[in-house]
Amino acid sequence: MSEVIVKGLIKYFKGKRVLDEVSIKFPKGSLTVILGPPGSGKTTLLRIIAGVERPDAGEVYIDGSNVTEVPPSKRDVSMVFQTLAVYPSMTVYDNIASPLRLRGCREEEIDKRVREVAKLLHISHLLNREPINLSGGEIQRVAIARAIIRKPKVYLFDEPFVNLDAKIRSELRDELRELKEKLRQTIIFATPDPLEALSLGDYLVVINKGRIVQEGTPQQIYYRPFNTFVAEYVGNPSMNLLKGEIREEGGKLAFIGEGIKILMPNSLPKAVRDRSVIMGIRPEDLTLFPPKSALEGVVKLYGKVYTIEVLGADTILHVKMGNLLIRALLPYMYRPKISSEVNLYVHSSKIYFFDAKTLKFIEG
Amino acid sequence: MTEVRLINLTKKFGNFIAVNNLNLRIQHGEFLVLLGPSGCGKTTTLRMIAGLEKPTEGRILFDKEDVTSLPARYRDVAMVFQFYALYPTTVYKNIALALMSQGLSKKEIHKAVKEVAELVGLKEVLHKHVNAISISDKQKTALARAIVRRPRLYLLDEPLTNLDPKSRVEMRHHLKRLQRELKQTVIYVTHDQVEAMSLADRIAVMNHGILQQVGKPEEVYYKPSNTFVAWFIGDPGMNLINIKIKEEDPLKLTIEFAGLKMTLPREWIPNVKEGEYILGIRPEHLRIGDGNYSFRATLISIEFYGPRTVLDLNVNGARIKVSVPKSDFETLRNMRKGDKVPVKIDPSKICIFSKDGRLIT
Repeated sequence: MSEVIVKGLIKYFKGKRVLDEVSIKFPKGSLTVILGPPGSGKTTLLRIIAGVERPDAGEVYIDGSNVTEVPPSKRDVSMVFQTLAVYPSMTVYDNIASPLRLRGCREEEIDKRVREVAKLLHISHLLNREPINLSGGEIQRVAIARAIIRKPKVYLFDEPFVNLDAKIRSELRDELRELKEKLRQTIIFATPDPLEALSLGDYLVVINKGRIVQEGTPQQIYYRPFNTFVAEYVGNPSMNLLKGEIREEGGKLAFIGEGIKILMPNSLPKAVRDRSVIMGIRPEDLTLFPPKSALEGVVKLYGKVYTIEVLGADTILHVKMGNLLIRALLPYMYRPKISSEVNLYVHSSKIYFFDAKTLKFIEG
Repeated sequence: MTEVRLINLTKKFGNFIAVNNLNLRIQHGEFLVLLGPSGCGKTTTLRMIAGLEKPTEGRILFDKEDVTSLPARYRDVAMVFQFYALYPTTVYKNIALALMSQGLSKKEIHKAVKEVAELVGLKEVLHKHVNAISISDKQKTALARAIVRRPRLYLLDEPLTNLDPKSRVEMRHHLKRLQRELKQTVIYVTHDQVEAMSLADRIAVMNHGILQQVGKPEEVYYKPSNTFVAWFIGDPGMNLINIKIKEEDPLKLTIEFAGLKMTLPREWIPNVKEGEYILGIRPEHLRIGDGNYSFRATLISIEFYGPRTVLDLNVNGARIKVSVPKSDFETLRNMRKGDKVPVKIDPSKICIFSKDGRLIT
């Protein structure tokens, strides 16, 4: 198990800072997901760790030694790309075997390893085929097999599933999860997809505009987002964010927003009162009925049904509240009438408050 | 509004049959989604409807008019692609240019552009250059260009694929509104079953060039015609478990798998005799806990998605998934990999498939 550390990485492209003092200590033997929107610097970071890109400042350490000046071939790192990169003229077998052949391994040893990794990725039946006859999902499995056959110190995955069908993507995610258990190696995985990040990562690093915004376990990121960017980005459908202020009106505590007023319980922490806030409510925390367990502290919102998306296991209700659209995610199929009135409930302990200026989470 | 009929439609590329004897009627004003994995023939079907691909066999009718050999430009259809092509100018001009050939006055064009911009949600960026707008606004512009011509039919080929997840949710919601207001016939191609479920009046599921099932989202979801549809629809898809069924007495049947015996009234699963079958149950119709119909499974992994947590379990060699909504996260406390976990099954939600994968009940 190897430890990867990057310190103070800075990288410019055409005069633009694409990485801005990025420092991360990647946990040993676990899968770290770099999560960020397109253009946030994920790929550049991975390429610097792999050695195919040189940072303008900062260092990369693998197992304590500074490898910043070490060429990629000497770093013992392997990378899987988002474009399906395999040799089209070679069979699947030869594709997977190629990294070992390049290193002059014995054919017996190669054969053993090829069959091992092929089995691991469920492509044993494809070994004699050529990539041209394979589906995208199968090709990406071959690419992953080729990346893992050498047993490198570190595995880098750069959005490997992004060009694949949704269904294949979730299958490959399952396989990577299994693989991770078997490899027990340090894996760094970049993706723009928050659900992929939450479900796959042992550890998450959220990056935006070349800067690290937050890092932690998936649960820490989801339950305690550092600011509105993380709050909105990490989740699907994304968190409802309402601008307004919390103040007393007519003896009652309320959230007053653009054309809306929501009564708030007296149990609301002092830290969020009498100030401008952005109130965040996750769509999945909204229910059609008040929670039975705790009547105290329940907040009620109401509006009119604007659109309904019945997705099978879930329903997304888009509810018009004043000029705002609120999304509620219900864990069942539900088709109310369009424009019918609807009440939505959320317990105040599940509401997130952010400072209206700094956009940072307000600790209660 | 146009009714589209595909009659015995087949397309071959050399020896490869891309679309195999497809019969489908798309009704006036219907939002039909062609859904399936890469290479299933959905895009080829769309291209044949557009006139960009000539069928090897079969016919295409628009409102009873045979258009099979009518060139694309006379079909009056608008196509929106995954990769939008926009002119390097303002959003306004991009939309207006789509009306150039229609001989309208400047005033009429202005009115039409304004209306469409309002409808699609481009009002704020109408006079911006397309390089200065977001990806979802670019895709909206491509959409607006299609709509402004008021064609008889809209064909959309994975228009949301290249958007980031957040914009995708927004655009999906937007398209749904739009369709309700336009009331036009839309044929929409995607590999993403969430999009299909959300947008479609009816979903046509394809695989290997063959139509697997056509139906309302709920029908396809709850009564998949075969195990392919069962697996493909839903994320995660339906759990499929090999079972044995025994006839206990004239009124009861016993389902056996993984050491579990579940006796059900025969009328719950009609048309089933003693024998081997495949049981289908959706991950959200399994719950953690003991009950009348419960079994034990070994926990392989826990997948946290935020609104849901999905448990990956092993039942005597069969892999199943259980989807736990956030409101039940409490039941997951102290759960560890390798644990034996009790799983409850909702017998009213099961599907029974034959060994070769066809839905029986």
